[in-house]
Amino acid sequence: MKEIELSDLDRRLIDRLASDARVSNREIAREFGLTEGAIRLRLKRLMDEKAIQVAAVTNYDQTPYSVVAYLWIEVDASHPHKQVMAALSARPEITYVASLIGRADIVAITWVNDASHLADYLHNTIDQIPGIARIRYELTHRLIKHDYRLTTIVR
Amino acid sequence: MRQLDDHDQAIIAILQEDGRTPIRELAQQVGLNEATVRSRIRRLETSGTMRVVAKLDLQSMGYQYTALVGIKIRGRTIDDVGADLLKIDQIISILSVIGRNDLEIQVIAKDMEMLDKLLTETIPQIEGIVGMESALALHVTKYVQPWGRFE
Repeated sequence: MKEIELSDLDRRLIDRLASDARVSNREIAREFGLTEGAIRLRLKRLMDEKAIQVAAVTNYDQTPYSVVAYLWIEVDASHPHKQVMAALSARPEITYVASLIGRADIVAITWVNDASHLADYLHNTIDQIPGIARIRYELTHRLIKHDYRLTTIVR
Repeated sequence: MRQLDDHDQAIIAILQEDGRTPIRELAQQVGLNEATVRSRIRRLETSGTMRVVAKLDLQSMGYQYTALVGIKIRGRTIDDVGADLLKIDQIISILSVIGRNDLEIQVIAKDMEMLDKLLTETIPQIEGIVGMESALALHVTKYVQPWGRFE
């Protein structure tokens, strides 16, 4: 996937949505002096090309599962990585999955209550996924920055 | 923290899938009337519980590379090193961790040259950083991370 060309209108739309992503097409059209149809079309294009996504985020400080865990996973050499990645991605509590060069074969990010919850979770859920050879984990205790305005829109 | 009831959670779940779902559709799906849904969304927003945001796709913006970097710190506080890392725009996530590293960060770059400079010059030059271990993301199959801190 390569960088897409954004027009001036695209950039203005993205800026406008950054401050209030639920603003109606009609309201944007009025502000920009364009028709509602023109706004709807540009937004549809940006979303169809998976350049932007509008989604709710919740406050990190108010989540019941407040500890983020990084799972560094090694896969059995004979086992297809794709299957392990698909199994991890299918789990709703896992929010990030990527294959890697360096450190491990796969990283997965999830949330837990505390260390003992993580121990149970690893044993009962993650260890059951076929192909996983080893897991190292890191528990976070503080979020200093997380830019929720950026993402990878999976195609 | 205000307790969220089932309706709030249902509204949040739908908006996490598509933040521009019209009020009418939300009302139908959660079984409340439109005015109630509208006021619940407003309450979730004003209480700082939820925010509906536009997210930009890293690859579409030209950021082809993401590195996940563990950092070890000696002789300086995590907050001081964190403050220096916050000045670097290409670092999109900074978490303090318990384990063999003190911080886990995510670094984005448009090309290898930019990534190389960040990982071998800009970041290691920060005082107090005594160790770094980096991984390059090959293929991201999930990136939801539906949380944030609101200022």
